[in-house]
Amino acid sequence: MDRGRKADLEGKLWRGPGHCGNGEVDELLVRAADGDEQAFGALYDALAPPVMGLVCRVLRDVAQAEEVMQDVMLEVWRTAGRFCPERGAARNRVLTLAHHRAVDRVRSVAAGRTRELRAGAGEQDRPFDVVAEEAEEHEEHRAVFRCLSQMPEHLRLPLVLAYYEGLTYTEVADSLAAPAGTVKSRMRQGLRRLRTCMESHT
Amino acid sequence: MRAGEDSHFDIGAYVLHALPPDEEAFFDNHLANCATCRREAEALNETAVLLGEVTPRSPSARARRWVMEQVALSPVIGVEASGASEGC
Repeated sequence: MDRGRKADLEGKLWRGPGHCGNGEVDELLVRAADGDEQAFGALYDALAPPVMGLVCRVLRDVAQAEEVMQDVMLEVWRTAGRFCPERGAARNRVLTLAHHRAVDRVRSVAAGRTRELRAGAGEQDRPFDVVAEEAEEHEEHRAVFRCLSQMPEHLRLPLVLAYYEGLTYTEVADSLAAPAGTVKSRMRQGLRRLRTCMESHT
Repeated sequence: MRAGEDSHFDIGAYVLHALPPDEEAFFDNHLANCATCRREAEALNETAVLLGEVTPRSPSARARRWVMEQVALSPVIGVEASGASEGC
């Protein structure tokens, strides 16, 4: 599949939950699509910090995170013409792209060894501990933390290992000594459970 | 690997970006032909993004300068230029 088609498909997945200020950010991206560099500058100022926060969480390395953030923001500019507000908020689109690029980077050869060490025995719930620390400091993250903590471990671990550590489902399966098919099914189940839980909090 | 029920299982891993590249490409193709899957993937992606709303972190001023310099040199790829026919 060519890159344009893939980006278009990804575009179909970008739909926002209605964050405050999403409308303005969407508008900035629409203007950027017309080549408005000033609008893109304002978009950068709004989204570079959340992108940097997420990428840094996955990579745990500020210098690498900044490189990935720069590539992500440049890709946002280059593909701004494909943005459709009807298909989802710009913020979600950009964070989705940022997560994708962060896990691509974490899976690159250079990062491979560190990742194996991270996924080692006894470390499985470490990413969740980080989420817990986050929740103590930030009200908006508390609902995610509450929902994750209410989930049984067999549903929570595949989610946090994949999302925050950038492990593939086969790596998660190895790490948890569980069958790969079971892990895939639990990822879907876990996301559904988290969704239901988050809806009940809002 | 075959299409059908098996592919629906992949939705969670796909949304978490936990499929290896070949399986991700396979699932992209599956999504193009499965409206039910697209709807579920959209819904689950909204949830996955909530996991990504962690503490923001300010990048360096140097990073912004570099991006804006590149922006000045790079054209925006329009819908026409990308060859996408669906539009908005």
